[in-house]
Amino acid sequence: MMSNDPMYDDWINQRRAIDSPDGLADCVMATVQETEVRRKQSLLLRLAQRIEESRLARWTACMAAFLVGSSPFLYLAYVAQLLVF
Amino acid sequence: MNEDAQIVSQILSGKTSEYRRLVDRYQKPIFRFVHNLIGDQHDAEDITQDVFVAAFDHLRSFDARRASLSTWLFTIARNRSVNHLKRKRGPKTDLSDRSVRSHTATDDVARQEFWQQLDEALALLPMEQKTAFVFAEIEQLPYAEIALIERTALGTVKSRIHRAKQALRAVLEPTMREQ
Repeated sequence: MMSNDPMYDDWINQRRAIDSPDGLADCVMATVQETEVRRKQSLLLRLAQRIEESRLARWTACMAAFLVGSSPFLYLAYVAQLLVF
Repeated sequence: MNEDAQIVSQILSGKTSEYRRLVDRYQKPIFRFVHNLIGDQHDAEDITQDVFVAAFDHLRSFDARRASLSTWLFTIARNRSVNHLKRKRGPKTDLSDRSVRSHTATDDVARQEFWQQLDEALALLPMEQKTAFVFAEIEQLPYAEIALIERTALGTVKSRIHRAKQALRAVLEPTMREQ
């Protein structure tokens, strides 16, 4: 039978001994990082397109910007209440 | 939750660099499988890289309850390699028509020639027999795992491996007769 043939066993062992090349993991990780950056860029692009195309999205973006922009003033107003002049 | 599943959840929560641990752990078996299936070093490197990038892109679809990470990666590697071979496929030679060169297995030249004959015979096997044989004989995966990867019944896997061995035995027989 095949499993008893030493030359066949050598062939199988030679094929089992194949090793991955040096630097393969580095190449994979570099490509993965690139993919991640591209994915994030495309998310921002899609968001910008959405804001440009939809009135509701524009209103939402403006409201969000207003809330973020006014938050320091709201905080100051809150702190001012605690101060005694 | 096993270690692989924990790493996957860390990656999904934003720690992309943790993917390196999975690549380090599985690059050797995946590369070896792809190389044994397609038989070309450079193409095997490209496909292995492709497998890990595709796995990263679809990591959210990995379900640790359905299969282990290695099974999932082997499934991607198998599909990519098969697609690659289908694209590159040249004129098919019938194994039964092959004239097996006779040789004496006494020196390195004869050994190399014999190995080459086995390589050629493996390359000429039908795709499903070839993948099943590489998984079983070279990667030494359990038949149940091969059935999961090949999406077929256990009995079908066994019969594919049996037929692959029969075809390769045809290459071995002249040598065995001479010994």
